[in-house]
Amino acid sequence: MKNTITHVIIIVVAIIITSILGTKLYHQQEALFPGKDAMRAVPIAGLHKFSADVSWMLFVNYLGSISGVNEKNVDEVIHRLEKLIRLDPNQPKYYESGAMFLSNEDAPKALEILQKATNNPNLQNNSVIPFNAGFIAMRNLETPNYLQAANFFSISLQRPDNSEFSISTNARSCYLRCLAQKYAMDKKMDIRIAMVETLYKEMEYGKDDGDNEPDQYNCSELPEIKGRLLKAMQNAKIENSDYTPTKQALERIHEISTKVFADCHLCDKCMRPYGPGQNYCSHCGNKLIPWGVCQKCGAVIGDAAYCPKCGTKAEE
Amino acid sequence: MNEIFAIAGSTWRNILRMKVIYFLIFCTWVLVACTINYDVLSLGLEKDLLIDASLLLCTITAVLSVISITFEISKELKNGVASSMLSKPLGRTHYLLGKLLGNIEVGFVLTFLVAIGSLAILHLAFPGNVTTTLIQSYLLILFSIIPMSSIAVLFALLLPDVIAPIATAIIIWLTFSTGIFSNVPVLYAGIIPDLELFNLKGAATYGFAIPWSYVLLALITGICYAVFASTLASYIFTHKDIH
Repeated sequence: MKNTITHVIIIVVAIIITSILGTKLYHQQEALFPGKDAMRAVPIAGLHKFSADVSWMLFVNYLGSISGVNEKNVDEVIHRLEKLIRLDPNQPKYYESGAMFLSNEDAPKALEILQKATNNPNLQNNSVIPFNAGFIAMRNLETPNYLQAANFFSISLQRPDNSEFSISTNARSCYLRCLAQKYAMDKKMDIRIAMVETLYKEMEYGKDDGDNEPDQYNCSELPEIKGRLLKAMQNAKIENSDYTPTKQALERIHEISTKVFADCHLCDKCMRPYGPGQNYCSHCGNKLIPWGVCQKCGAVIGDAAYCPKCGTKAEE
Repeated sequence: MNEIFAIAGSTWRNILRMKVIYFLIFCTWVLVACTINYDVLSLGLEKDLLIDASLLLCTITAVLSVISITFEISKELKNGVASSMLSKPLGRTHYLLGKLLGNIEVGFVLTFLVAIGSLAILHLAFPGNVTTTLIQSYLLILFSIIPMSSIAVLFALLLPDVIAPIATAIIIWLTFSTGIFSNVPVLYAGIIPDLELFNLKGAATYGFAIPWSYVLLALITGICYAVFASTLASYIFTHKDIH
């Protein structure tokens, strides 16, 4: 009898302790590796990772056996990819390569998969996945979603760039292009002018909080932002067969130019910088207001404080 | 206590004396090393494949070594070896604990050999990729042998020798997939152990940090479950007629 009671006590105490510790470990595991719970639902004796590896090789093999992803096989590709992601939601390659195979035939599905990957806490240091998502939202959707794309590019830029090829430069260009496209659509204006407005806004970032803006990446500190704005202003001023800048556009460009490039010497017509002593623009032949010339002898002195020829103090 | 160690010693010596085991371990190393050749087919994921294959083979080694005890105990009970042993001044609980300890030792040694070989291959093929997380994952597989062995001992006593290994294998498989019981606290990770708690193979591949407190807690959980299962087995064994 005594022996039985001892056994029962040990059994009860051991099972309670195991249960308490097990529950504690379960929660700790969930906190450490979110998504583990979903993996438990797939009953393959804890061999999810190895199964994912095998499924990945079969997936690659399958893609090699078809001429391309088309409407006939797109469902099969999605099915295989989703199975892979269920088995191992933390492998970036499945998203970086796998979802891109889908992007032409079923862009919304590819975007959905990449959206989940972007939100995956274990892939928070991956900048390629949001970049790919942004690219699909910008290029592959039937109606491009520029705001969503800009959000993805913004996320990509906020993450460390560990990719084999540096994507941050591309992501920055795409981000600005998406913002400009969105602005052009909203304001019904030409993309060239919208780009000027966007870049100007980016330079002024922090002073202005737009309601409809994505969770922005801060471009205002970029060293090339001024160069980009200047280039955009030059493009916006060039008249060609399908584009003629409006009067309002030219006034706006002039306004921005005087605010941002007050200390620069730019041609009024083509927005190209010109050097000291130049009377005409070497690019467009427009008459310029010369600068850096000695008021007394007419020698070109540039930024010098005194004329090296006659010693006259330069005007400030 | 000496009797327990004597039985444990004879159990693991019996198994580790078999030369075929070392040949099989060598085969697992070869299999692990072969995964390096899958660079093209896996689109550059051969390192992940190597790590995953080594962890898989470690788990299989652990499970097979655990299942071997069900054969051993069932055979001894059937052939009367256990009854002749128990006619000596030796408690049934001692016999059970000896068998359990012996089996854990066998599992530890075999799994350790597979793990150490795999780590050496990984180090040679991809220098600098032997991470703390990977070592912790191997340790967790080693620790999972403790609850698995106790299940094996329990089933070896409860079921006939043909059914016991199969039932043990099914239960081990189930304990890795117990998500459906996750809302029943005592059942989940209690009466049914949650071996997924010892499964951090995914973390090992990606190098996600695992706190040492987690590894230690998993070990304690495993030991507590082994105490539960072996006490239950001991209770059943003391009330069982052995012919």
